[in-house]
Amino acid sequence: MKNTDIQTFLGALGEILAHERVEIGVILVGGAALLLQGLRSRTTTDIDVIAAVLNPDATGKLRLMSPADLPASFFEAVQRVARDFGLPANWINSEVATQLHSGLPPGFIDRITWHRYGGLWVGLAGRRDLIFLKLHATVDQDPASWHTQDLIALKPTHHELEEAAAWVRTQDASAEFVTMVDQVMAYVKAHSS
Amino acid sequence: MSKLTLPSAAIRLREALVEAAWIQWKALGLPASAERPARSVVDPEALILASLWLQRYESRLGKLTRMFATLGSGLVSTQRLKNLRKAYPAGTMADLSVFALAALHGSKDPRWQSLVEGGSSLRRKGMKAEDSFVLFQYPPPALMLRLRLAFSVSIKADTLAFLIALAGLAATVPMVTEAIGYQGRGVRRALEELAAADFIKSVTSVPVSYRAEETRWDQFLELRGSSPGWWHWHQLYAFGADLDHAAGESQDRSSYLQSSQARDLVERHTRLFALFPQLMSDPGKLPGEAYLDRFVEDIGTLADRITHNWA
Repeated sequence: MKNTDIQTFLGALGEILAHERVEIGVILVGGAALLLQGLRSRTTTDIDVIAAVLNPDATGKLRLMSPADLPASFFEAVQRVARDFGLPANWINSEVATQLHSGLPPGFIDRITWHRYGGLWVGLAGRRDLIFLKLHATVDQDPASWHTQDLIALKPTHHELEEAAAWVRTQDASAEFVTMVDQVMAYVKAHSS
Repeated sequence: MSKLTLPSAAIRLREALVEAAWIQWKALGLPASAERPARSVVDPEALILASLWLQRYESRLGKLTRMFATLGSGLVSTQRLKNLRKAYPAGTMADLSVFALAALHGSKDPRWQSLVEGGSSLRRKGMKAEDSFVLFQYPPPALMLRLRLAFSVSIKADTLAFLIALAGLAATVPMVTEAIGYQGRGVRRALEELAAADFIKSVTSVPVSYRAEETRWDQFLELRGSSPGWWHWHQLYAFGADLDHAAGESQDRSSYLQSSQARDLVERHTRLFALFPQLMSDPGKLPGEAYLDRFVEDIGTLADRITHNWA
């Protein structure tokens, strides 16, 4: 999917939800979030949803929820778009939403930027949070992986990388994990000058 | 945004089906104005149900239907009406009840009791069915009614009509079942008994199929080589009614949502388009709203075929 494809598919999803008089918010990370913010120019195979909110335009503090708990009308609309555009059933998925339970970077929700597509509100994780999450995703990946290349494309400063590494280390306290984080840090610093 | 819309497609098809209904009523001998004779076998139950649906747009079809209820209901299958009616709009059910009441009063045939909503007191008076009132001409397109008059309203008569309309081609049990709208078990038995009586031939194939010898039936029924075709009018009318309903819901919908509705329609009527595989484009090859224009064009082609080739 290119940037324009993503917008077309999200637009179609939003039209269906609006017709059903449903308002749902999804928060994107990964390649789609990078593309939609112009932080990366590549294609992506799917759209990663890390969290969801119901009635996103309501006043007051947003409460993040697991995408799995969204109403059935959302998943039916997702499958309708898949059929209508010839997309795989998991064109938008919540495989990364396990991170919601293990913890998001501090202040994550305040840095989300929202875009409306009919009945669908799309929240894009901020650049700082994408650096945190990408570093976490990169730890056990090959340096040539999308995650590593995305992280380098985000051009993190040394300070941002150190903050991200501090948060990533809280996700797994094992010595082996900490060593891998250090190795990734060294690689990214060497390639993001 | 596309200029072609689901409502425009619905109107186009509906107009073709109204014209077909006129032609078919005329083929059954009713005073309908049609510019030319029918080319295909008239399915009486499909014609009744379609006319009850279409009368909201063409009230004179309602008058013809009521006339037929009084005069021709003895040759109509109440079981087939029950089997086929669920494919038509909900409002058609109430109209069918009115039709059944007229048939009940006109024919005094208690078969119609079960289609009258709320029942009727006439049953308690010990009604007795009168003989079928033979009013109609029987040109080739009236084949179903003609065979029913000869052999009674039955699966066998309709099975034979379908096979004769195939002009010597063979059909399997599922093909016959789909065409005439009875239960498969009854159709299988009818085919086996017709074959045992040598009215039709069984063809050694897997699965077994059956055919009516064209020259034999052409000669016997004096069709003079103009054996009418079978164009699955029930499926065509039911699709038109479904498209009409979808179009009514689509008034405030975007081109994309209408294209999605069009895909729903094609999915719901898979069997119809399997019968005419060359008619509809593959929705999977046209993503998103790009399918809407093609769907509307395909419906235009379908309407042309109905008007110029099939009806």
